[in-house]
Amino acid sequence: MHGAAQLKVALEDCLSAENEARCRKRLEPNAALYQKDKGKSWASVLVCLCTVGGDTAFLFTLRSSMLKGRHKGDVCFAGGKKDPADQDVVATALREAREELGVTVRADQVWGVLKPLRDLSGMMIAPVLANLGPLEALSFRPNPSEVEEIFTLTLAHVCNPVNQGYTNFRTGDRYGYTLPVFRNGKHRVWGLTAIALDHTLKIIVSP
Amino acid sequence: MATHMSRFKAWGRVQRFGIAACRQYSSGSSNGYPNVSLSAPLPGIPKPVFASVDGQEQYETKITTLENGLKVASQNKFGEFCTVGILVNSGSRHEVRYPSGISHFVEKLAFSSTAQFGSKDEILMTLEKHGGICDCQTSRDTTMYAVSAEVKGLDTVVSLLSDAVLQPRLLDEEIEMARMAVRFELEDLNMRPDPEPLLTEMIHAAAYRGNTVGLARFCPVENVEKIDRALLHSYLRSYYCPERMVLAGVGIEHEQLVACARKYMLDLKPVWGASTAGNVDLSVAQYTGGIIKMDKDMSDVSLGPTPIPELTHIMIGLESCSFLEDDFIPFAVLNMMMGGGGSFSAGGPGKGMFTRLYLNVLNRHHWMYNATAYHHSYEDSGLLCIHASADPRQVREMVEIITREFIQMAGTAGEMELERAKTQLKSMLMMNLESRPVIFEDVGRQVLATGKRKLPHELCQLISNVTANDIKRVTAKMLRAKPAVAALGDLTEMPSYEHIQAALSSKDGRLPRTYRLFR
Repeated sequence: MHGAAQLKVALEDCLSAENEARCRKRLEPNAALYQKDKGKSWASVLVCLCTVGGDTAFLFTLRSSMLKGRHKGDVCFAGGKKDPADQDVVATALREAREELGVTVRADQVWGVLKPLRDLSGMMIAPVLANLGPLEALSFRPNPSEVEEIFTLTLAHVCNPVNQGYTNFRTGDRYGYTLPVFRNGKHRVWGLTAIALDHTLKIIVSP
Repeated sequence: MATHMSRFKAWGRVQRFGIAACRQYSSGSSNGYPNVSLSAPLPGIPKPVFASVDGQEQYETKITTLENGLKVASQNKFGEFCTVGILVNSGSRHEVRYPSGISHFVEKLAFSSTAQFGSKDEILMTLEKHGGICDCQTSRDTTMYAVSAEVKGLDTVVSLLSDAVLQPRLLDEEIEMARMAVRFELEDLNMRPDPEPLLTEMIHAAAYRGNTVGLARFCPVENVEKIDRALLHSYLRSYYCPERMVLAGVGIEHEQLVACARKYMLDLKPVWGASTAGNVDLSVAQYTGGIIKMDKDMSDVSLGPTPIPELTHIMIGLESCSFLEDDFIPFAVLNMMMGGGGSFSAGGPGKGMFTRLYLNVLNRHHWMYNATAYHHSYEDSGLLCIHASADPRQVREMVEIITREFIQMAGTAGEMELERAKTQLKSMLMMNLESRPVIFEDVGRQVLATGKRKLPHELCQLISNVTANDIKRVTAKMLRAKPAVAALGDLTEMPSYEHIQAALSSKDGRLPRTYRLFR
């Protein structure tokens, strides 16, 4: 009981000023990790924290099933590949959020960058963490050719062990790797999006 | 006329010579046939017990959980025979950290020598005394050991089961015999003209790439030598623990079964040492979609003198839902509505002659040899697929017909069509549940997966409640997923995966037009 009560308190003040300061401080060193790959292509995703009716939640997009390619119809965070005009990974994430969701995120709402992830093709993906504030105050204009739906999952939901799972994958003929999966929400969250969410949770929920 | 004459004759004889002179038709004078009563029971014969039918389910499924986590479930049924067995939540989906094929070996090694019984023959002889048979079946997520025998032999049966499951000796000769059996089975799978099991393997591997239910159910050839007793013990130690087992029985009293379970299964130490429940793989099945092709020369698959035409087989599948979700019943009705089968079917009631795959596909295109819909469902995901076969030169048209059928699933189902599918599903459910082994499997699997059992009339009610809107809704959800494609045979005309994906996202299901210079 003590543990559950502690977790509840931790979840509630995730968006408090002191937790934000703590997270910003923790994410600061990560910016250096992106310096050396500046020349190459990268992609960014925007991990959006927000509040829905007072509850802390994450914002996800459901990619349109009209898209071609291997990620059509999947759940993911807003994001995409770097444009030549983008200065850094944060700029890519903010631009993509503007294009896909129609919402402008200010630079001061960004808390920092998490450690880079790599997808199956080897490309570097930078998860950028930002707090958008109350969802009701924002107006979204999703781009229908890329985004079919925007939905949220509350922090309490993704932290509940019942909704967390994992899958062991095999590569070749032996055990390869393990990926997290978050279920029982509106849509299932898996793959790179789940990894990014998992890393985010480790940072923002104080131990 | 003739009987009239013979009666005359006998009566004439009685009249002339008296009753004592009548021919005796059975030995013993006072027990002769004219004196046997037809309304009182015969002396010295056990009193018969008759079944009574009044339309109600007399017994309900009773479930008890023992102290060590083992669940005991039973469904009483009229009859002298019972089916009792142990179902374990272990199958090929749990083998990600082991070489694939352990479950296949376990299936072949079941009911061999154990701590109490010296050999498989001894087990079969013991069962013979109670008129019983035993069998083991593994699937992707369950291993089932079952014994059918007389009710009087329940004690022996449960003792034998617990022995066979928890204390097999796994001698070297038995493992060698199992290796041979596995090799034969693999050879048979590759040689037979019916590609069904191979295609099922391929579609699962394509749909769930590299995880859980996508792992091979049949032992791959390279692993046959790798599996030995040490490996089997390490696997069984993790997965054969009481919390993952159900002792199910049909045709016996619940109290009796629980008493036997307490006696034989409560404190029994498995032969591989204490179970380590911590190592269990709880992976969630991840549907990935994808394509798996096997270029195989199918020009000469006939095993006899009559040639079989060369066919290319494809299977296209989409993610459906798990059997724990409410949407499972609409998917089952949808599967029934698609139906299908082989083009050489003799037809008849219940064979699905008016299902969509017959009416729209097989009846209209004479060159299609086969079009069948399948629905596989597991505890966390499901797969609805359509298998089709045709001549290799017509693969492209065949794929287009199947993708068009998938798209048309999203339209509104006709009222009569839906009613027919629902009635067919209900009658198939009830007819199958008249058989005792099927009831046993149903009770065992439901209790293993959910902890309780939905009775048949509840399921029938749920089936009756399915509407055309439900079908539309689940189809729309299904069509958003990436397709899984498996192809076997001569694949030169096969459209690419991207084209199939585009066809399934389009409005009419047609493949994108390709312009080729040389036709």
